[in-house]
Amino acid sequence: MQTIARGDGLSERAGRIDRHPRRIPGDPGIWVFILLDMLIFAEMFIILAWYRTEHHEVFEAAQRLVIPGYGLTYTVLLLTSSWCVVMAVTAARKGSVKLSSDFATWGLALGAAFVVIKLVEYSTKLAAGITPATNEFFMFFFVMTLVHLLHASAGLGVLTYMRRKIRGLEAVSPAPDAIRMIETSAVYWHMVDLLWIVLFALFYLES
Amino acid sequence: MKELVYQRATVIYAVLMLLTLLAFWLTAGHGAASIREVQSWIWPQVIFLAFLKVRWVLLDFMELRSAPTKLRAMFELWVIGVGVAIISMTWLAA
Amino acid sequence: MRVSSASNAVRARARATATERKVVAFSYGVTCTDMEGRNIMTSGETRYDRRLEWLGAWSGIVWVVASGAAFGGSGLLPVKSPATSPRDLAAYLSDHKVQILVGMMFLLIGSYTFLMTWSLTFAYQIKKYANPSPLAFYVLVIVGINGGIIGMLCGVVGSAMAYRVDSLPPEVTQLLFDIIWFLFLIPWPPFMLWQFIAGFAILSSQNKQTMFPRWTGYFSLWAGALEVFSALSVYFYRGPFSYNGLVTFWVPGVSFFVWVLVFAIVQIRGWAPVQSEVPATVAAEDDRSIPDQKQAPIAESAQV
Repeated sequence: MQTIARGDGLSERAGRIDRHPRRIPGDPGIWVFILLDMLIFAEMFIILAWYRTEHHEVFEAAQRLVIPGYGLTYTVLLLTSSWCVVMAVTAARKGSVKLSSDFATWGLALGAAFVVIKLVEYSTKLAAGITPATNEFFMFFFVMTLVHLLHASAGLGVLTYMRRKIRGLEAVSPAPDAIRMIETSAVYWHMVDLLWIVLFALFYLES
Repeated sequence: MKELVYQRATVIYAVLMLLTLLAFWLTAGHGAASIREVQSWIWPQVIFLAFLKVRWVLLDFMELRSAPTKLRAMFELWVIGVGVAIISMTWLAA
Repeated sequence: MRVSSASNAVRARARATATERKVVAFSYGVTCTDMEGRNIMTSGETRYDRRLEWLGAWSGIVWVVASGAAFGGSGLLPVKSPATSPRDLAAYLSDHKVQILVGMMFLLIGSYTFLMTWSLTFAYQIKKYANPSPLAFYVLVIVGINGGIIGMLCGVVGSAMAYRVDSLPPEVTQLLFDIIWFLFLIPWPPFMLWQFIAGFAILSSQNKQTMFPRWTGYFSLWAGALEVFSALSVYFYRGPFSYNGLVTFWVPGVSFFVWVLVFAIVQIRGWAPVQSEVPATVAAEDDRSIPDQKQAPIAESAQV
């Protein structure tokens, strides 16, 4: 079924005016990145799940050495950070540049807190003699959370870029291209958040 | 500011936080023991909750709800496929 | 057809004022215009260059086929685990000796020629169609050549290993086997640089997206990010993160092949549409933010 663009910004579909036209959030190309990256993480998730069942006793014993409080902290930080980024994007679309920039700063700060606390957790583990070589649980724990940490660290750069784009907006009428790049940055950061949600469940919530 | 915060995404954020706390209570908080859950069913539930959260992040934070259907479908499939694959490893691998 | 000689930047700019001819300012080379002033050859190029450019894109396909066949047909895939006992490994390699030697020959032909030609063409096309930055171009050339050399080293070590498999102690054979895969995996940093520089060039605002649409830029960044998995291979002797692992071998390995393949296809399919295009120049500074869709090629008059 064809969606026909009209001159007034709305579109027509099956003869009816489509008041909420479907649009791709951000730069369409970012979704290629998002999908491909999520497939790679999916591969790792599934391999971990297989190992978890194959080596259940080792995993169960090792999981007790993981402090769930860290995981809860990370999840709260990233969820709140993502919410701030959503607010920042909404504010940017409305033209409230200062508000948008403030939300972006909060998002960035919470993301930075995630990175810092993660490094603290790693160092406590390593100091206690727990390394990726300790057992298979910790092999997955360190490798997968490290790969995620690298994504999150890159995400701090992406959020900084997003904030710069926000600050460059005209207060009255935001440029559509800048908004699109702001949305694109937000989409990447939300991916970091959602990958963490799965990692939290896999590593920090013992049964 | 108020109009900004009063949007769907904020409600979703609250739901995500609640689900996080629920999952935490079920496991680390030993809530599962207190409601006499079967041990082996806790993990699948935790994974299910996690993927429920992931789906909300995709649809409402990443705005896939209002995206073209084909794009949204790809990610809905990821959620279902990966969630099912992880949970079914519990039975497939042993 | 009128041909002006090289180092004509000044003369070219002076001629730009002539109304009956459009002259393109360029950073190197020669302009070719016909009597009506139409630019019949893109700046700096001869017909031979254009032919090579077209062949260069296709050489990416040739490399993928040659190297894929080399690894696949040699019996080296799936890769034996680093935890394999040296005796078993040596026995296996001895059984597949000739296969391995033939496979390594195709790897050498593939990587040491066709990957080189592809990567140099890729660098040239990034400069021509995406971003004219000379520095990015030089980096892409260097890491592209490096890619070919890494492939060559894999081929040489693999050949030597198979050549002497029957007379060397199995532990030494295993070390040579390890070296093939370490060469394949652990020099990953320049490969990541390659994919990132290309990705950012494609995402830059100078890219008119005639050859490289924006999604290929994001795709390139993704492929670059995956290279880091290769670093894990030296820390593990078994499991998904060792050099034969489902993650550490197959993710960066396959993604690099796919990266070359996807770009070669993009370059081949994008060839016809760019024939009429005038390339961007270093002098042309435009601060357009990201364009929505493909823009028509812009004929640029010389910058004065």
